[in-house]
Amino acid sequence: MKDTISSFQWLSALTAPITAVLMLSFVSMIVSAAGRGAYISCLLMALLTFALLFLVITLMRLNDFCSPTLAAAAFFSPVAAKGLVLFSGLFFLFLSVITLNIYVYIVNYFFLPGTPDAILALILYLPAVYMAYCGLRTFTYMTSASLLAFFLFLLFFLFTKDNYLLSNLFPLNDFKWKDVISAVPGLLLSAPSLLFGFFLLPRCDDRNRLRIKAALFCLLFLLVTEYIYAMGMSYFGERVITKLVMPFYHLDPVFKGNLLERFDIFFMLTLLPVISIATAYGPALFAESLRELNTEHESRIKPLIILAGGFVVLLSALSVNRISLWHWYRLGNIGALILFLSWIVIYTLAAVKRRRSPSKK
Amino acid sequence: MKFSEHFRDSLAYFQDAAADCPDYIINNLKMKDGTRLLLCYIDNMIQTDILYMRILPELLKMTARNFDLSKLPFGDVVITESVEDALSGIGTGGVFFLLEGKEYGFQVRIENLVGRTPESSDNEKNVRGARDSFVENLRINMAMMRTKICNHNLKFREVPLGASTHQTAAVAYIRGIADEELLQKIETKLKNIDYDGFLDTFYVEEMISDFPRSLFPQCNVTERADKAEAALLDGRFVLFLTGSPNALIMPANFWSFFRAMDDFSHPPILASFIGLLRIVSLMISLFLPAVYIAVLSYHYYVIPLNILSGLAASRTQVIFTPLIEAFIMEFLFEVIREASIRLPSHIGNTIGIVGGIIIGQAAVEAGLVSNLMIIVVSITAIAGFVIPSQDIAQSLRFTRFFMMIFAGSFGLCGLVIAVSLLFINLLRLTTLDRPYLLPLFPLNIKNLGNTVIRLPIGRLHRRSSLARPVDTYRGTGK
Repeated sequence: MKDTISSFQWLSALTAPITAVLMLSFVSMIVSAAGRGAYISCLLMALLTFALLFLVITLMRLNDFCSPTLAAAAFFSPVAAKGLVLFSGLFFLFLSVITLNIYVYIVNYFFLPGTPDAILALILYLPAVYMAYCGLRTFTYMTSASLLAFFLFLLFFLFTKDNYLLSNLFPLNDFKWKDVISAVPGLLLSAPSLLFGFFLLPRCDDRNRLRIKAALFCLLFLLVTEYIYAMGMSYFGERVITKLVMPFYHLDPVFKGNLLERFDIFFMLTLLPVISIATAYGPALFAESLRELNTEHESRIKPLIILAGGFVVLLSALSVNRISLWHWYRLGNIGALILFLSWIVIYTLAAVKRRRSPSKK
Repeated sequence: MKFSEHFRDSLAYFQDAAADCPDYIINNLKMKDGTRLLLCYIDNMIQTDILYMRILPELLKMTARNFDLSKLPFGDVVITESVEDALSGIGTGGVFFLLEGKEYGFQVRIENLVGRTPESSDNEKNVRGARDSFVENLRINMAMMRTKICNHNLKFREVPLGASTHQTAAVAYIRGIADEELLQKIETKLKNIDYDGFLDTFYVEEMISDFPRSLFPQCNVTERADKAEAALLDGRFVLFLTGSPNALIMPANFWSFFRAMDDFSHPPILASFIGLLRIVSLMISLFLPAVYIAVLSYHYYVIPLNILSGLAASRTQVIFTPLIEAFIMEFLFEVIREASIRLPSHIGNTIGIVGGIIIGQAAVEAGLVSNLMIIVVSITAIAGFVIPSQDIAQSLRFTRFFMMIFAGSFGLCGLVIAVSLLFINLLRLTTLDRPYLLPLFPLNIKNLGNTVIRLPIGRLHRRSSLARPVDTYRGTGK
């Protein structure tokens, strides 16, 4: 029997990868593109996430919370339905490898410049693979843990570098609508991890008032995105960030006496587990989709072997050209969006078919 | 095997069973009408004065026709229909009788409770509070629990264990509080055990754990009766085993290993402070050597310059890298600890002095390790001893090496990866299908008041959700 999860775990499992993806690229998405107008972009992002979550829940309710395989089987043959689920799993694997590449780049740049990329990739991928081995229940625990841990970072606000003005948190006066609009597509692309919801919701044991909970969660998500923005602005400062080639965090490895300067590295270290969630949900879902297809033999090792094989192939294909990493990243997000829309279509059609079927009447 | 119709055959079974057992007493008696009565028991395991002064006179007065068990001055009389049950009962302190012409016998339990009397526990010390601890005798342990919980709802579900040893496991619970479904689960797990004998409850723990290969303990082990009582009142289950003074408390979560009974004898603020102190000690015990290695090997710039210069000076004579240096010291510490445990206490102290002072000083002078490393290892060791449960302290000691390897290989980044792996492992664990990190993951705010911090007892009216108690409210609700 498969493990069940609570609604909190379900919602955090959807929100945490989005948060992690935002963390991974928040500078390029929010600061570079939107400038100070990102305040409104974050609000739009929260509303959009809520709309998508609401859509996922509604579609699943219409289908009586059936699994993706069952929804797809309403139209396709069982083999094709399983193939579609497997394809989704593979696509998640592909996305996670892209995210891993960015992750490796950041760790390589700031922490371990002398370590070969392949070894770094292997080490950074270990938690993701272990989570895939442990199953989705452990993954949802981990995502809710990382989301809770993320809010502890508010403490770092106490140590702003440039100034301590609270007005940095409320830049309502000078945002530009053009920047806001230009930021929306970037934010939109990180939303497709909501696709995850289709795979996880059938396991949710507490579905009562899920939509209200989702609304509350989106408020939480708004706070997170606002927080990311505020952190980008008040902690690092706009100019410091845009100076870097692929700006992420400004670490200051100089010998100064002030102990507060040293918080940079600890700040970065506490963020790393949160970011690793972005790379973890792909393998976890891929392994789970393999397990769903292979119900008779509940082997945990077999999906991992395939996972390792797929990882090596994808990593070697993507690592060739670092310059094209962002290109792959954008491409992956667009693909995820298309896949997400495809599943919405499948679920909608399945719901319509279900309602029209004679047995329903 | 059923008893034979012929008395002589039945007698032969028992005589065969008693071969090479000089302590088996088999008497062939005659009742008033000449009907033969077989009596069998083990010497020194029963109260012979009760047998000969009170039971036998009553039995020998009866005849086969007016034989009536209710006339016996004892209530604990059990009808026995098979030879195996009879022998098993005799082995646990029963007296067996078989009447000629009957295809069943009966047992009277008048066991002689031999063994040590309850004393204060050496392994789980406390400053204030009750001191009685369990002994090897199952019945005495049960009686101890009865004196603490004077309620008929305190139940003991017995399950026979050990194909060769014929032991008994008794699962204590309070009916009306404990979840019957969990009880069934424990009982099923116990019944599924197929093993010849159990030297202690640790054997049972490993066999009924959800993750037997895990590094982390999944049951609380205690010798203290008050700790078992607290667990029962929380809706949890306590397993006793014949011949073991250690009781297993199930299910157990991670935080329960950081709780001591003393916490409730302190004011809540003080108890919360001690709880936080234990968690800080856990962090120090787990991460201090690893952080030391990572910072010195990779991230020396996080150390302020004035401290760094002093640190560099202390390391100029050291020939090894921080990882090797830390490994030498940690390994040496583990060797000394293991050696001192197995030795008599007076020699153990000497080993500590030799290991800690003489070898430590010599190692610094020889340039094998730095002064700071000695301090780091000492603080780590002392912090490890703050943790009340030695079971989890041992697991954490092993995990520390794992952290050191990652920190030595990839710096703080590697340490973060190792912590992630450890955390995932803890999230994965369950005890009786209940999450190991409850009530933190999944979050249960109502139960957070009795984990690391402790709220006043008056505000702890809700039982922990760990064991899914049926009655969640402590008290009558007046």
